[in-house]
Amino acid sequence: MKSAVSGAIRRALWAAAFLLAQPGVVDAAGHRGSAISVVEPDAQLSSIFAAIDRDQVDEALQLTDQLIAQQPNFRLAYLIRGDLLLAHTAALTNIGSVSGGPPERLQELREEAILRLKAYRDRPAANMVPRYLLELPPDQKTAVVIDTRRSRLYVYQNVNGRPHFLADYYITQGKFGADKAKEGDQRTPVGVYHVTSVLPKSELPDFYGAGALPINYPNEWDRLNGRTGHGIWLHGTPSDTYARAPKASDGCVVLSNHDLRALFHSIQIGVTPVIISDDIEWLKFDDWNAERASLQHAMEAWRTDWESRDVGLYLSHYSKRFSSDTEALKQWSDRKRQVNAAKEWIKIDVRNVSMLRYPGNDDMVVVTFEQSYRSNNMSNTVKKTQYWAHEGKSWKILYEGVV
Amino acid sequence: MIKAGQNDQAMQRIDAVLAQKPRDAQMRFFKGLILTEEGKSNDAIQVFLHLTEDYPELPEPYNNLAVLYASQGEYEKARAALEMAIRTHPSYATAHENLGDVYAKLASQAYDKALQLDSNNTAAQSKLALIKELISVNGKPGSSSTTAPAPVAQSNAKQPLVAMARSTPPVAAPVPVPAPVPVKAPPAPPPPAPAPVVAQAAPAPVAAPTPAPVPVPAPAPAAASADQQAVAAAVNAWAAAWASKDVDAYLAAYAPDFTANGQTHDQWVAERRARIEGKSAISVKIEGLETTVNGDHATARFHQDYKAGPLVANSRKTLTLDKVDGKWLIRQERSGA
Repeated sequence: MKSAVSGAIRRALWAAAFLLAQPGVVDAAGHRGSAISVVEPDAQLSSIFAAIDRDQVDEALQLTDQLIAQQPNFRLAYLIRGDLLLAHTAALTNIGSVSGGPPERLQELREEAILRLKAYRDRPAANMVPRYLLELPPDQKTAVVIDTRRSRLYVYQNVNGRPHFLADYYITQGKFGADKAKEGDQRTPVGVYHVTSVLPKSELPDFYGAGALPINYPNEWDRLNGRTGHGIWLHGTPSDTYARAPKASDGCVVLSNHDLRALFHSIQIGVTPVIISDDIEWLKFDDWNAERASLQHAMEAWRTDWESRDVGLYLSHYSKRFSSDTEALKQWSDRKRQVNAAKEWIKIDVRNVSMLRYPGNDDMVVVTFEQSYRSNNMSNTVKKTQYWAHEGKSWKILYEGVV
Repeated sequence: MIKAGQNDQAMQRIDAVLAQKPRDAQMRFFKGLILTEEGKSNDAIQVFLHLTEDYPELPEPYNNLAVLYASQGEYEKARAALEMAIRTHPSYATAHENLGDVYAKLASQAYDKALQLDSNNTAAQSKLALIKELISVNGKPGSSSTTAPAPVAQSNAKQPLVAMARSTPPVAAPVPVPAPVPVKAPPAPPPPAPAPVVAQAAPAPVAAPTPAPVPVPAPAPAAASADQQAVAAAVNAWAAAWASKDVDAYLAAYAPDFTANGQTHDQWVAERRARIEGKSAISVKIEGLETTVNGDHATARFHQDYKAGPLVANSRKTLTLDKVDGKWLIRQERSGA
C-alpha cells in the first residue's frame, strides 16, 4: 500500500516541486558554515519533499508534523499535511489536492511552496557575491539584499570589506510586484535604501507582527525620477499566520516574525543598506573584485584631480546628465571654476566609502563617504553621496549631494 | 435497532457471563456494541480499549474503538487504532475503508487550516463502519440462511474466539476449526430478546449442518461441476460489475435481503453505492477461485486483489451463495484471514 500511495504522489504534480528538492540542496546548505540561522522551515520543507521523492510518505508526514509543531500557523505546512494524508485514499493531482477550496488562496500557497523550495535549492554559493555590494565601509556590519523575483531577503555580513552570506528569509512583496512608481500602486520599490527607524511591536497593530523597519523610499534618485509614495516598511506578520502570500502587501516587504526579530539584530539604523532588486545578479568573487577596483580607481582619480586645482580635469569626471539637488552641469561647472580661482591648495580625504550598485537598468553605483576638505581659505567635513555611472569606458558622476 | 428493554436484558445476561468469565472476549465485545448503541461512547471506548489490551491480535475492537473516537472528533486516535487493526490483519477491508475515511477527514482538517476555512459545519460527518461481529478469528464460513436461533449461534461464534485468544499469533483462516465444543455458561438467552444482538453477532448456521466445515462435499461430479461453473460465473460477474463501477449489476449479485456489518439492507446498499461511486477507478482481480456446492447452497473462496486509486487491499474472501430461481446470489461475504 505504501509504495502505491507514494507512486501516485510521484506521478502527480509534486514532480515539479520535488525536482527542486534534489541533492543540490545539500551542497548549497554546506556553504552555510558561518550562518547564525536557526532551525529553518525551508530546510525542513526541502527534507519533506525529498522524503516524498524517496517514497517515504510516512517520514514526510512525520517531518511535516514536526514543522507544524514548530510553526503552528504555517499554512503551507498544513496544505502539505492534507496532501500526505489524502495520498492514502486518493491520487493527488497537485500540491493542495483539496476540492472546493478557494482557488486563489490555493494558488498562493502553491507559489509560496515553489518559491521557498527554489530559494533553498538555489541558495548562493560561498564564492558568489551580490553585484550590488561593491564596497562596505568598516563601520557597517551587514547589508540586506532583497530579491523580489525570488521572494527572498539575504543578509550579508561585512568581513574586511567583503560580503559574506549570513542568512536568508522568505518575504512577501506588493500585490502587483516590484518597481514602485507612484503612491497607491501597491508595488514594492526597487532601489538602494536604508532603515530609518525601528517601530517596536508595542506601538503597532497586530497586523505588523513583531515590529517594523521603515526605509527611506522615496530616496533622492526616486525623487529625481518623479517616483511618489511613502511608508514602505519591512515588517512582520499577523499572529494568526506564519507567513503571507508571495504577493500580498501594499508595497511593504513582509517577513515572518521570527525572521524579522533575527533581522533586528543585523540592522544599524541609517547605516545598513537595504537594496531591493527585482532580480539579484551574483558575481564570482574575482569579477566582483575587478568591478570594484575599476570604480575605486575612478574615484581616486576624481579626488586627485580635485586636489590638482585643474578644474577641467576635475569636471571631466562629471556626466553631461549630471545634476545636484539644485544645479545642472552648467551651473555646477561655473560655480566650481569661480571657487577654484581663489584656491592656493586643496587637500581631500575620503573615508568610510560605501559603494552600492543600483538595481534596475540604470547601471549606476551609489557611493557614500565621509569627505574631509581642507584648503587655504576653507575646511569642512561632510557626508557625501555620489551616483556614478558607466559612460563608454569610463565612470562618470551623475549626481552629487551632501547628506 | 435494539430496543432499550432488549438491551437491558442482553446486558444482564452478558454481565452474568462476565461475572464468571471476566476475560471473555465475545461477551465484552457484545457489551461494547450495546454501550455503543445506547450512545454511551465513553463506556464503550473503555470496553474496546481494554479488549485491545487483552487481545491485541483482534482487529475488530481496534476498528470499533476507531469508530467511537471518530464519532467524538478524535481523528488522530481513530487513525492510530485503525492502523493497529490493519497491522494485526493487513487485509481487513472494513478497517481499510474506515482508515480511508479517517485520512480524508484529517486531510480536510489540515486543508481548513491551510486555507483558513471553517468547513467543519458543512462537511459531511464521515460515517465509519462499526463491526458487529468478531469474525477475524473464525475461519469458518457461516453457512447460508437468515436469522439464526440464538443459542447455537452464540456458542458457535464463541468457540473459535476462545481458541483464537489462546493461539497468540493470529492464525490464518483455514485452520481446522474443531466442532463446536459446547462451551459452558452460555447465556442461554430467552428466545425473543437476544435475537438482534445474536443475529448480528454471528450470522451463523441454522438448519444447515452445524459445523458447516470447509472442505465438505463429495459432489456428484457432473452436476456439481455444472453448478460450480455457474457459481464461478456468478462470482466473476460480481467482480466485473464491481470493477466497472456498475453498482446496479453489483448489487444484483446479492440476495435481495443481504446485510452486513449489522446494517439494514438499505443502509448497506447506500454505503456500497456511495463507496463504489466515490472511487475514481476500481480494479478487482480474483485468483485461486474454489467453489463448493451443496444443493442450493454454495461457497466460493478466492484471493481478491482490490485497487482503487492508491488504496490497495489484498485479501482472502469467502462468498456464500444461494440458488434462487436458478440464479446464484450472494448471501454472505467475508474477508480477512
